[in-house]
Amino acid sequence: MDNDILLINQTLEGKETSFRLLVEKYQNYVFSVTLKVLKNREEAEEAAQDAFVKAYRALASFEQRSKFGTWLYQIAWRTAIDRYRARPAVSKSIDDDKNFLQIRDEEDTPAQQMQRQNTQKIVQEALDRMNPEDSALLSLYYLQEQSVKEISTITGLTESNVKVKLFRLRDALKNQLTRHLKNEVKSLI
Amino acid sequence: MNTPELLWKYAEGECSAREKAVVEARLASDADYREELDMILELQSTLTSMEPEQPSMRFTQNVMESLPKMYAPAPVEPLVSPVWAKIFWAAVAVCFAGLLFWGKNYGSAKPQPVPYVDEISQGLSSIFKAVPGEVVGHVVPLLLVVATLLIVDKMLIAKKLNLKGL
Repeated sequence: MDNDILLINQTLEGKETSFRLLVEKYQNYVFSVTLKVLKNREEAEEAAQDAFVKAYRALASFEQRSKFGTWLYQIAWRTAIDRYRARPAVSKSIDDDKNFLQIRDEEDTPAQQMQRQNTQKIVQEALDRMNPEDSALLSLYYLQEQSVKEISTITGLTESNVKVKLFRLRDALKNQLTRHLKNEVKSLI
Repeated sequence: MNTPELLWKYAEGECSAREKAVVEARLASDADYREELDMILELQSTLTSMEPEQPSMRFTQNVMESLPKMYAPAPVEPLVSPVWAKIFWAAVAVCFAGLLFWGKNYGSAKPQPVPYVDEISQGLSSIFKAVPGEVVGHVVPLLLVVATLLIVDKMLIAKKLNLKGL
């Protein structure tokens, strides 16, 4: 039996410590989804907490038609989007945290590291400017490694819509990156 | 399919053999196309190297503290109710005593008469004398089987309670 399903069954039998294990396993991913949408750590943490409580309440109705992770991200996504839409229009500020986009350390030469950091900075700035739903969509695809079908379940968009959106978002990011790098080369010349 | 979309598909390794051949032929002759692919690969690498964000250290505790009490542990009960188990054990005790006194009255050695005990013994043995021998032969193994099952049931309950830490 899938480990998640085992933990869910134990939770339903009254073993709360099993739900703690599920929280520990998924908290970073759930928080990443809510943070991408809300772009504010405090608010994103509240939304993530809210998502886990909602999942706990609805645990008995989880029918295993999708993976538990997908079902949980769906709850997190809706919770974050609802909060975002309920916000006053002026408070759409980007989080101050400079490490919003955390990148794994890789063994690069100093020149490669500089190039990588530069790319990361450009991508980060582009993601920050993006519509929160779009930014979260990319996060689900790249960070949570969800398939197009799973993203469709989470967001309620059709699969073809998800594909089109992902293509447009990535291509827009690529074009921004290209423009930025070309400008840098020009300024050096 | 338009060119950028095909290039993205190529970068993700999702092209068919025919599409792959088309892309590779153009890559060999078109430097701009090559540059575009490099940019896609760089962006892919940046996006896939993102790591999930971490909430505060107290996050798990906060979630656990805000959970409502919804799922109570399932009650642990024996298969046979304690009342029926007591009745059964009493019946076994009576049968055992009966068999004992029956054996005493029909044994080879003549024991010394003991007041009251002999009276009870006579009473019980008269009951058991009325029961045909083959019935006793069936009832005794049956009682042994039921007794074994009751003991196993009790042991399983004890184990389950132990597992739940109750």
